[in-house]
Amino acid sequence: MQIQVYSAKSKSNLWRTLKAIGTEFPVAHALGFRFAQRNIRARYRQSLLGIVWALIPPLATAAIWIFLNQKNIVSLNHTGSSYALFVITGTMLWSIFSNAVTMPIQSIQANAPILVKVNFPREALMITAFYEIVFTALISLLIIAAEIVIFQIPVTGYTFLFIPAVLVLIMLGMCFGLLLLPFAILYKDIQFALPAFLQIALYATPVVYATTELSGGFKFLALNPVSPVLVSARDWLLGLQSSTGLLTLGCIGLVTFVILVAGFILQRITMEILIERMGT
Amino acid sequence: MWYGLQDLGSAVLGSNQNRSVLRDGEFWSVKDVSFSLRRGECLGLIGRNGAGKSTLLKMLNGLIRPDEGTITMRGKIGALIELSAGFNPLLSGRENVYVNGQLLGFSKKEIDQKFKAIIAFAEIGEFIDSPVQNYSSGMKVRLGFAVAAQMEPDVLLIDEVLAVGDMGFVLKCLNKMDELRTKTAMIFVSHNMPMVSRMCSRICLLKEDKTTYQSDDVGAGITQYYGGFRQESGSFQGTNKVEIKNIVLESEGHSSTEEGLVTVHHGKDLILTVDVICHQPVYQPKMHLAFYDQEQRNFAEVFNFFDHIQAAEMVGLVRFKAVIPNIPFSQGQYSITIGLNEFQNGQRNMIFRYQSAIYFLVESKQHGWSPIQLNPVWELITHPSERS
Repeated sequence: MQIQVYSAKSKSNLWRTLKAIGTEFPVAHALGFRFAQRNIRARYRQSLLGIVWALIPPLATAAIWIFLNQKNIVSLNHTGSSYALFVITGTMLWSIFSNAVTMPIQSIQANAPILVKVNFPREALMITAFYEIVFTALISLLIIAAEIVIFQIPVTGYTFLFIPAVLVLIMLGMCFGLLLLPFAILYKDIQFALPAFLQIALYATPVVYATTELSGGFKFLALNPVSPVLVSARDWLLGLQSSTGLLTLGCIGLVTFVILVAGFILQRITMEILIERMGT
Repeated sequence: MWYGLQDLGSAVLGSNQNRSVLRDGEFWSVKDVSFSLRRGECLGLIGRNGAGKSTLLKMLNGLIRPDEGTITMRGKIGALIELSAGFNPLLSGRENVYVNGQLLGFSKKEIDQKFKAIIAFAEIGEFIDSPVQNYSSGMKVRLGFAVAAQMEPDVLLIDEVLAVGDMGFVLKCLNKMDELRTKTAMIFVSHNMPMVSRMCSRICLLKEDKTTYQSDDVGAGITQYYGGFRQESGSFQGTNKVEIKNIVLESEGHSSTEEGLVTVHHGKDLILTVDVICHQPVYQPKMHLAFYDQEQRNFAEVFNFFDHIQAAEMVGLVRFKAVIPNIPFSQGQYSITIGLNEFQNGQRNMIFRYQSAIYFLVESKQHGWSPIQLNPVWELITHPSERS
C-alpha cells in the first residue's frame, strides 16, 4: 500500500523529482493525450471554417507582405526564391513557433479550475499543449506540402531535414513558454504582453525578409535563437543555400531539449505554490 | 504576487528554511488541527465559511503543501470535490466520461469496462451521446458522480458535492457512499447537518484556524456549530392593528428578561408570555406557536388556543400566557415563531406572524440528532414458555 506524506519540508530532491516524473509519465501521457483530443474536437465543433482558422492569421500576414513587395512599397528581393513561397513558408513556421510559446501558458490557464481541485499528474497539461501544437503544426504542414506540389519544388534529402527542424522549432517555443509559465501565472502582465511581444518578435526574426538583407545596426538580430532554426528549416525545404549547418541545428536542438526537461522539473516543483496563488 | 515569486525561488533553490512566521498580509488558514482516521470511519468536517475546511481538504488531497506539520495517508486517495471536472460542454457525455475518468486516474481500459455501470448509475440513457451543454445541471452532476463512484479509494475526501440532484439521486449517492464507507476512511465536508449526522461517525468543528471541537459525539458537535451563529429574530409580518410589547420565556424561575437566553432542562416546563397592545379591536383572536430547530425544521406546533380561550373581542394591553409542560426536546437551541389570527364573519385574517421571535436553549443528557427525545418506560418481558 502506498504511503503519502505531505509535510512542510520541501522535498525538492532533483533525483526524486525526476523519478516521480518518470513513473507518472505513462498516466500523464494518456491523460494529456485525452485532453488534447478533447480540446481539438471541441475547438472546431462550433465553427464553420473549422481548422482553416489555424491558417488564416499566418496566411493573412503573408498576403500583406506579398502585396507590399509586389507594389514595391517594400523591396525584398534577396530571398533566393519566389517571394510568395518564401514568405508563406516563413509565416507558417512562425505561427508554429508562436503557438508553441503560448500553448503551455494557455493550457495551464484553461485548466486552472481543475488544477486547484483535482490531483492529477501536472505534466499531463504540458503533454496536452505539445499535442495541440503538433496538431496545429500538421495543418500548417499541409499548406507547405501543397506548396511543394504546386511550385514543383524538387524533393531532395535536405527536404526531409525540414521535419526535425520543425520539431526543434516546437521545442524551442515550448521552452520559452515553460520558462515564462510561473511568472505568467503570478503576473497577469505577461499574458497581456505576450501577443504584442510575439508580434514584434516576428519582425526580429527573418520571417518576411532574408537574413542577407540585414545590414549594419540590425546585425545583432542574428543572435535571435529562433532565426537559425526557422531559416534553416525554410532553406532546406525550398532547396536554398542554407546559412546554418546541420551541426548548429543539432546543438540548438540538444540545448533546447535539456532546457525543456529542466522546464518540466521546474514546473513540477513550482506548481503547488502556483496553485496556492491561483485560488479557486 | 511577490511572495509567490519568493516562494518559487526558495522551492527551486531547495532552501529548507521553515517559514512559520507570517509575512505582512498573510494569515493562517488552518492551524493546530490534528486527527487520525481509520478505515470504516467517517469524519465530518464542519465550520463556518472561511473556517479552513476546504484548505484542509486541499492539503489532504496533496494540492498544496502545509507550511507546518505533517499529513500521512496510507493507500489510494480519492476525492469527490469537483464532480464533472474537465467536462467540455461541446462534447458528448460519452467523450466526457473518458476525459473525467482519466482525470480521476482510471485508465482507458478500466473506463471501457466500467462504462455500462456508469451509464446505468447516472440514468442518463440515450442522452449519453448528445453534447453535455444540453444537459441539465442535475444530469451533469449525476454523470460526474457516476464516474467518481467507480473509484475504489482507501481514503475518500468529499466536499459538498451532493447539493444538486433530485431526492432520488441523492438517496442513491448516499447508498453508494454507505457502501464505500465500509472500505474507506472518509472525510466529509458539508454545511448540511442532517447529511453530516447521517454520514459521520466522528466530527471535527473548525473555527477560524483551529479545531474547537472533536469527538465521536456528532450531535454535540453539530449543536456547538449552531451555537456559533448569532440568533437573529426573523421577519415580522403583520398589520398595525396590534403592537408586540414584550415576549418573555421562563423556566424553573429563570426568565429571559434577566438572562437573555433561557435554558430549559429536559422534561421541565416552559412558560411563554406575550404582551400585545391592540390599537384596534381584534375579534376572536387565536394565537399559534411553531417550534423550529437550528436546521429551521418546524418540528412542533401549538394549535389548541381555542380550547382554552374564547374571546369575542380584544382591546388595549393584553397578555397571553402559555405553560408548556415537560419539554421533551434534545439538547440544542430552538426558536419559537408566534402568529396571531382573528376570525371575523367566519373569515380568518392574519394579524401578525413573527418568525423566530425568541430563542431558548435546552440542556439534556440526550443530544441525538432528532429534536424530540422520548422517554418511554422500558420493560423486559420474557415469555414463560421460553424460559429454561
